[in-house]
Amino acid sequence: MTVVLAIESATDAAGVALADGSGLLAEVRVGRGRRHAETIAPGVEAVCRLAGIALREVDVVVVDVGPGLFTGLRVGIATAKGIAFGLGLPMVPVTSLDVLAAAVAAGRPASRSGRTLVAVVDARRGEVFWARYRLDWGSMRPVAPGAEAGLGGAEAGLGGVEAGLGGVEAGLGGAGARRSGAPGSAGTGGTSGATGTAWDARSDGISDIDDMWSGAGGLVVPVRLSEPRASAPDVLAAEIKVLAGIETDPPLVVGDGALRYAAVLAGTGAIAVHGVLARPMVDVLAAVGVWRADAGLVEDPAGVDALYVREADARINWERRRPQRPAAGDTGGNAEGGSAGAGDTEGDAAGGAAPVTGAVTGQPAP
Amino acid sequence: MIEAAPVAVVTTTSPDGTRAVGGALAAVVRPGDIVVLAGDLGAGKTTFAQGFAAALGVREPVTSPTFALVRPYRCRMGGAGGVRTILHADVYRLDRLAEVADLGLAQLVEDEAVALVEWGDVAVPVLGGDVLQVRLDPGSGDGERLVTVTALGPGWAARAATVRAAARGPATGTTSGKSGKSGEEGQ
Repeated sequence: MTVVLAIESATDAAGVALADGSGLLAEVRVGRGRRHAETIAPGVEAVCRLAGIALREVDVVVVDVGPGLFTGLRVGIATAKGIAFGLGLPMVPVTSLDVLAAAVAAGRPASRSGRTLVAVVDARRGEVFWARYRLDWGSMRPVAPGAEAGLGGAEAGLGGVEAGLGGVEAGLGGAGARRSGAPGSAGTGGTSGATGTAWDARSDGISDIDDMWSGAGGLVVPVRLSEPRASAPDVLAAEIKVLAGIETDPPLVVGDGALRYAAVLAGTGAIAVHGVLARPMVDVLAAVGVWRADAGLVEDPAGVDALYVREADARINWERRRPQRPAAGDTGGNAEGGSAGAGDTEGDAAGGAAPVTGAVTGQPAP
Repeated sequence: MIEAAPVAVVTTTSPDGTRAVGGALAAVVRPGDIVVLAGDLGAGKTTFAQGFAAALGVREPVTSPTFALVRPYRCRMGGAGGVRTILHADVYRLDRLAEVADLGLAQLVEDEAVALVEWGDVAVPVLGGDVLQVRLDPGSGDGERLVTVTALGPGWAARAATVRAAARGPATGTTSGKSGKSGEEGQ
């Protein structure tokens, strides 16, 4: 059975978990610490100890690649990649938005599939990262390896194409059950989110996160309908409003971004999922990781990077500016002889002409 | 790059003049703000930062953060906005916008901080878009600098009048005959 080590660091909460196909083996979570560097590596050691599993018994390293808070993400991703490189393991990168959506889907009454969910992560400085999902009755069995190419990398240009979470095809393996009504296993008593009230996945008459582990048999899954993007909350609100106008059930919104901008999103007709699910949780990440790993949707650690969503893949266009940059020798003039009193020199090269020179020559030639 | 009309263009004639403009603009920043500093090596970005920091009560010497990437300074006078920390950053050594995003400035400024980002004009998209840009260019005269202040994004655009008033204030006192030309340009 595949053993996965999952590392979650996309928000100011951090978590580490060990899991396999039978479920969660151990997890450590620290909330609101923003001390990911102090939390994650000890967390890895702790879950191994608690589960009685040696790190070398891990088969796959699963990591949340964001979008989210990049100060934390770089710690989590670097730790995950370091372990994967060190042990020669493949990785499963998962976006934070997929983790949020998976948690909601886990508690979703299967009797009412087809609902829209928007996962919203606070991007700070007045923006949110978000993606749109459809909660569908389906199976976590993947359509085909590769169907989810691009989920781990930014700007895959899937616009408009259904990129299923974990390569999910809604209905696959569960199509019959879908047509014949609600499956007994999923509980049908849910009073699916009365309009205008918070919709709490855990109190909605069904299941809890643990049910996700039996995902292969068929359950509600999030099918991602849009690539993660960054925008102002009111832009997102306008999009949700359109969706709310054409759909039977009010769209659901989940995530710390949905909480922070609750006032902006309130007028859209959307219903906010309970705050307990507002941050990506490492046990959900591990569950998604198990599904994807079992489906062979693993990647080489070398290609795993944070999902920046914004134009972060771009190289900084220093070349365009280089002609304006003085040659190395010229900077000394601005440093006023490189006097030790850097505090009163005019210019960037204050007391630092040599290092700056190094940076200049370190750049590739235009 | 986002195109926007300058809020103010101020001419300074000495490092002290550039510092004074930095100090004046420090009076308008609030926690969460990001100011990007543009201009070539030696244009006076760090000098501007020195004036900015001094006005907020930073006592230690402010030097170029090229190699530290980000240097935090504690503010002893945060002004009305309550700024407690200046994050003086420099993205000169970075090659990809992703590396700028990794600095997490957009997140760090939430802790009652403001960020001053040297060469930050190349990284506006990953800084969240809404930034105040201060561009320093050599002027025609000896030691002269043209300080061009531009609001990039709706938040700063809404504060343009305050920024303009602040930017013009000190220049009148610290520059010579050139100060008459100071003031807003563009629409």
